[in-house]
Amino acid sequence: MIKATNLNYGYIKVQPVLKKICLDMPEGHIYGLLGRNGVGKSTLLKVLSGALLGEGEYSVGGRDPRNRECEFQQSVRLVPENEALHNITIEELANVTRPLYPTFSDEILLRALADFKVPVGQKITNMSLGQQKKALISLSLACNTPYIFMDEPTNGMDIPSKSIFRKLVASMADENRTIVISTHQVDDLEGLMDYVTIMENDGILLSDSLENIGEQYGTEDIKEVFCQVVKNIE
Amino acid sequence: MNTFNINRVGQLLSYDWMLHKRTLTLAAILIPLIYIVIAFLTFISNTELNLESPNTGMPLIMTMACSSFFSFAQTAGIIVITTLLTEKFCYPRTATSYLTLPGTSAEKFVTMLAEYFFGWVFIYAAYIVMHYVTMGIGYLFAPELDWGVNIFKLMALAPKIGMWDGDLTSITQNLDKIEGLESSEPFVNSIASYVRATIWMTPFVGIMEVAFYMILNMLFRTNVQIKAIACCVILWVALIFASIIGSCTYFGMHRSDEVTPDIIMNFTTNVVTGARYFMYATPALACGFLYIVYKQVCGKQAK
Repeated sequence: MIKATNLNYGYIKVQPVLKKICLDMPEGHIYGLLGRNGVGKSTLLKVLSGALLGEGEYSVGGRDPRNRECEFQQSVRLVPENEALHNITIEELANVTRPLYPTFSDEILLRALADFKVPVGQKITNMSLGQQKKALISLSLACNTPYIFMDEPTNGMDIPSKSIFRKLVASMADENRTIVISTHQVDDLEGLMDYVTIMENDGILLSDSLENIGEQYGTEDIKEVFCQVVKNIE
Repeated sequence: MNTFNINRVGQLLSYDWMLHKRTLTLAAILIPLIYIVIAFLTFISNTELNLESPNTGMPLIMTMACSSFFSFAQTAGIIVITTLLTEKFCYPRTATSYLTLPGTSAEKFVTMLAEYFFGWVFIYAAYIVMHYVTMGIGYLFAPELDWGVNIFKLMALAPKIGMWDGDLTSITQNLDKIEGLESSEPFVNSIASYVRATIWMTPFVGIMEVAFYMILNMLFRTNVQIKAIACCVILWVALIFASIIGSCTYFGMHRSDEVTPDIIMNFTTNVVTGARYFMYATPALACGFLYIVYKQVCGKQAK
């Protein structure tokens, strides 16, 4: 469960990026985190994963990310939009990441790398942007954590890879796992997410299951719902 | 529970080593190479000096060059470590990865201290090995000279004879004070005398350096790049000034039998002497700082 009450964060104190964010995300779902540019989607994921320290009440899996407890960090894996790249192979990176995550699954790693057709022996910095993304997403999925936060994961991926990504993430879904995916490419998550959260500068505009959204807005087309919700506040 | 787990420290160390092994290996190669260059530049340039006793002077000057190199190596070590720390905490990408990596702040702090410790062991080892390699090469070129000058004995004696400013000409002026230095002394004895002479300084410098890392550790809880840079600069400057004052006080006390106003009178001279000694480190500090700023700019653009 991800819970937040009046969560605030600002890189500069006088200019808060997140203002009074209230969240209630039950576990066992795939959430699509949507919003316009600059509303703080990436920041929210970083705050929830403990990389940034927000203000207010919030917890992930019952733990306060600000404490940066090891057990918490072992239960959360953040896939940032721009991840740090190193001049080593994904195999070498996996070898040093594996011991840090008790839940690490070589089976998931090998499957993801094979499905994405990632050149395992190639150094990450020598890969193309899309290959880098796929390699690092494979590694993050292999960490097999109960909470996975992804920030624009499909950026730089080709169309077949996006389809593979959807299949891989769908195969990871279970009742104990919560996956939050921030994206502008709503089409990339079609049929994948079952909950939608729409953010704006002043907080969360909408956070509900696709089913309820369909009933409320008369459509399950997320782009249409997004436009309606955003238009309402303008 | 934020329990400390030593196994995780090992895991973080191997993680860091895997990510930074190229930088560290490069530093491991460059530092001895720089040493050789400095030593042999000194070897060549000393022929320009009009030494009263070349038999004693030339190996001694080489030894002093090693001493100067050591101050350089210390600075290089600080720069390498600071660069690694900066990379971990100051770039948005790497900071996010490192801060979300499983491991408590204490474990990450201990990991950094261990990296620092092993870095120091390496620098000391390279220093000792390369010193004797240089002396060996010197012996091959000029076997008639006594190349058995023991650097640890010299370093232990240097504060007492006021040579720590690293000024080569002062060596020639002080040759009479160090008669007998050219004779080799058992290695272990000279290390012991060196440790005895400098032991008081070690905790002092150590405290400063640990403070440096502790403040950086506090930045675990922030992500402001400027704070990290400012912290590095302030601590570098503080370390230099504190070392100057500390060493000058030390020199002053050893030049007098007891604490007298003479120490205070000598203070200005000693500060100048200390500052000259640290002049050797200044270009390296400046380069290190510029490098970090440069990397910062790159990091910001990448953001």
